[in-house]
Amino acid sequence: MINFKEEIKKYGKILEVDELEDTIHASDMKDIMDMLAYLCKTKQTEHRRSDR
Amino acid sequence: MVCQNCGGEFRDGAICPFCGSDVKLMQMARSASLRQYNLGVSAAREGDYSAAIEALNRCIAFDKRNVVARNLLGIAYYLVGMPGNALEQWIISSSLQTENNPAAGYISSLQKNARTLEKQDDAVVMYNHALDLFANGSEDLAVIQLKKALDYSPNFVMGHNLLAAYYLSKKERYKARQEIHKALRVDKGNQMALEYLAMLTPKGSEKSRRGSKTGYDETARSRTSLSRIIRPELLTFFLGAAAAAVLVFFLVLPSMQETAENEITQLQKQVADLTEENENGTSRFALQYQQLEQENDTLRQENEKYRQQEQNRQQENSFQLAQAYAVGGQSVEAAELLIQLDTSLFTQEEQTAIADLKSQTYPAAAQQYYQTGSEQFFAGDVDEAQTNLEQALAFATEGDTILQTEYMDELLYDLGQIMEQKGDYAQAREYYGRVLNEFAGSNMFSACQERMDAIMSM
Repeated sequence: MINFKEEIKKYGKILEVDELEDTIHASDMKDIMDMLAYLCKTKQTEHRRSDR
Repeated sequence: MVCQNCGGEFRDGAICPFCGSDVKLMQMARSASLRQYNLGVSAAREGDYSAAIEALNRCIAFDKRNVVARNLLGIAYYLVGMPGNALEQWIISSSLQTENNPAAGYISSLQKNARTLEKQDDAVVMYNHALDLFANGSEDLAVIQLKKALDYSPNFVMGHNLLAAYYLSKKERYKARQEIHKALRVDKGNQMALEYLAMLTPKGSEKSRRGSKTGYDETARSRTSLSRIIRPELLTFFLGAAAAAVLVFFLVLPSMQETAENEITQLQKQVADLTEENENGTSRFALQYQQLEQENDTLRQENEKYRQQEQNRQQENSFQLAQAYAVGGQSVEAAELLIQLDTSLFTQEEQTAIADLKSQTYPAAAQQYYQTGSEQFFAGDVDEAQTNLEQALAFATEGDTILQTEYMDELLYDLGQIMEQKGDYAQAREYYGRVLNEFAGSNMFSACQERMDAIMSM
């Protein structure tokens, strides 16, 4: 009916309360807006270099 | 126009002159975030928490500062039994916006119910451990851990899904179905649970089509729930119990009743027999009583015989002792023993011997008692004098015969005076009367007469 060994790969570990602190400190919270800002900044820097 | 990134205001163009951000792109990202947020809210309202979680995660992927989305995401995580993820979102939300943020309230609410949080976290720990055990092939231990986790946190959707997957792999359809229903009761649109349910439902059936379109269909489940409850084994059990009850009622009970009635009849007969025996004295107890009475009579008779024998023996001893005293010249001691003898217990010959002995010893004893009594009377010891003078009188007379006449009148006179002193005038009159009747020529005659007159005149 079901291949349990394959099925179980779909299940990952769930965050425990004890691991919260480490997880939050280690998280590199970046969203799409940060990425867009980074891209725009990179693009600006390249333009300035090319203008010189 | 206001830049989303740095907050700078400018009029023309799409690029922020201050930070260089593409404001238009930023606005599109923000719109996308809001769209995902709305999807998440709709899904959460319908009870499809897994869909809500997906949408809200996409929302914060577009805009990490959307604290409202984070708060709702935390709630969705909490409702499906993932408190760690819920706390993560609320903590981040609190740090992004410290004031007017309900996330702080959610966190403190969890902290107040520390025991519940602990149980839910333990459930997650056990779930993670079960995953390791499954991976290592220790399926039995993993199932135990998983079941325990679900006891701690009944709303833990991932736990129910994992257990359902295990049961499906073991072809335990009924148990798998139970776990799937438990998961779908919490999270109606959980895709994993719906896929498992589809595996259990025959293909092309109405149920499977309905389930896949609209998510978990509560009404479809309720219609089939009756057939799930009334299982063949239960039906067989109840039918068997009913048949057994009928058998007991028609076969066993009448037999028991008859036995009881027979026993009652026998006991009644016994009571009647015992009553009759008791009335005519033939009962066992009556016979026993009679026997005991007879034995008692026999024993009483024997006891009386032994007592009589003992008394006779004592009398014999006393007589012999009196004889010994008399021979030894102790007339008073001999007389004291003789006066206690019951002559009817002796033979004629012995009675004659006793009478002879009395005539030898009584006078001496009477004299001694008279002397002692007289002295005591003159000394004023009236009570002791009375005792000794009465003893002297006893020894001085044997029945009606006066053995000693010398001081008899004085003895009687003294006794009369003692009685008079004690107030016993009747007895005093008797003593005085004897002197007057029996000793007319006595020296005490006139004194007795005087006393008699005095008493009579009172």
